[in-house]
Amino acid sequence: MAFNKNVFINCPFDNPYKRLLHPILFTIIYSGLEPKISKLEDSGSIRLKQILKIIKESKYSIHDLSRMKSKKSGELARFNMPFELGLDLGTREIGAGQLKKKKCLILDIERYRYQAALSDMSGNDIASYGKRNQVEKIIEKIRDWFTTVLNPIQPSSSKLYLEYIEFISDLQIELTQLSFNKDDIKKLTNSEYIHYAKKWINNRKKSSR
Amino acid sequence: MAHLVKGQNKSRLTRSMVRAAKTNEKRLHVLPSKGKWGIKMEGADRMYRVYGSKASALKMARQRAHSHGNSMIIVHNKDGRIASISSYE
Repeated sequence: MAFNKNVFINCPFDNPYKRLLHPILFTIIYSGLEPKISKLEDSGSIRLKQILKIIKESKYSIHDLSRMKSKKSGELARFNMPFELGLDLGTREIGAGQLKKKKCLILDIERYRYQAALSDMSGNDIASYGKRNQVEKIIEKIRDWFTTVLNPIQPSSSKLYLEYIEFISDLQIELTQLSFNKDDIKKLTNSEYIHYAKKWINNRKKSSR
Repeated sequence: MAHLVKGQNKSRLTRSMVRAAKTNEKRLHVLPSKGKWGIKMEGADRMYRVYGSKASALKMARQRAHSHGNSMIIVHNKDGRIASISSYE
């Protein structure tokens, strides 16, 4: 049963990306699904096994390839995301049974940029979230994808964005009341963030019934 | 990775987030939306008003707070996080 609810998230996990990871996690939880993230602290071989386990346990996956281009001259691009996308697609192609039902959303800043670096993927549709209003756009892209693979009836993307805004406000205000500063929200671990998002969303939905 | 919120603070924050999920209609949010800036009343499904600039949205939010007795204006940055909070109580 969990297979049909799990969403494997393949994206950067550094602090700068949390501004997008947080709305991704929020949208997934709001849609009644379970985000699955590998634990970064594990060593290489354990990490790979853990990623493969999550891929096999997840019907849905979201891959953000935006870091495949380095930002500065001499800086290496990040290959983890295209690598894990390959593992995910390979699992669907080679796997049997429910693995054949796997669905993935591929995100990037630009829609066709990937074709130059990942030409084997040409012909696949990639959702781009652009360089402006990224939080709103990434929520919209994930929500629109859920209407096609999950359920055509989903809250509007603007409602999800506004709910996210209220959630992030409440989290920041409550953290401040516990004497954390406003930047500490970035220091929350992913499992902490998921825990508080679930509590808030469940109770928001109950109170609005 | 060590958790940021530990011990009693964890259960306290969990209870606070459950409570906070109920809307506080006295709060106004000023936030970016589709390249513009809008005012949203907490709990509303859509923007109350949309303006071309953050300054215009903030000015109108202050006027509304004074005239309608809103207790708090929460101004967001482009990431959605809180940039500043003004209380009116």
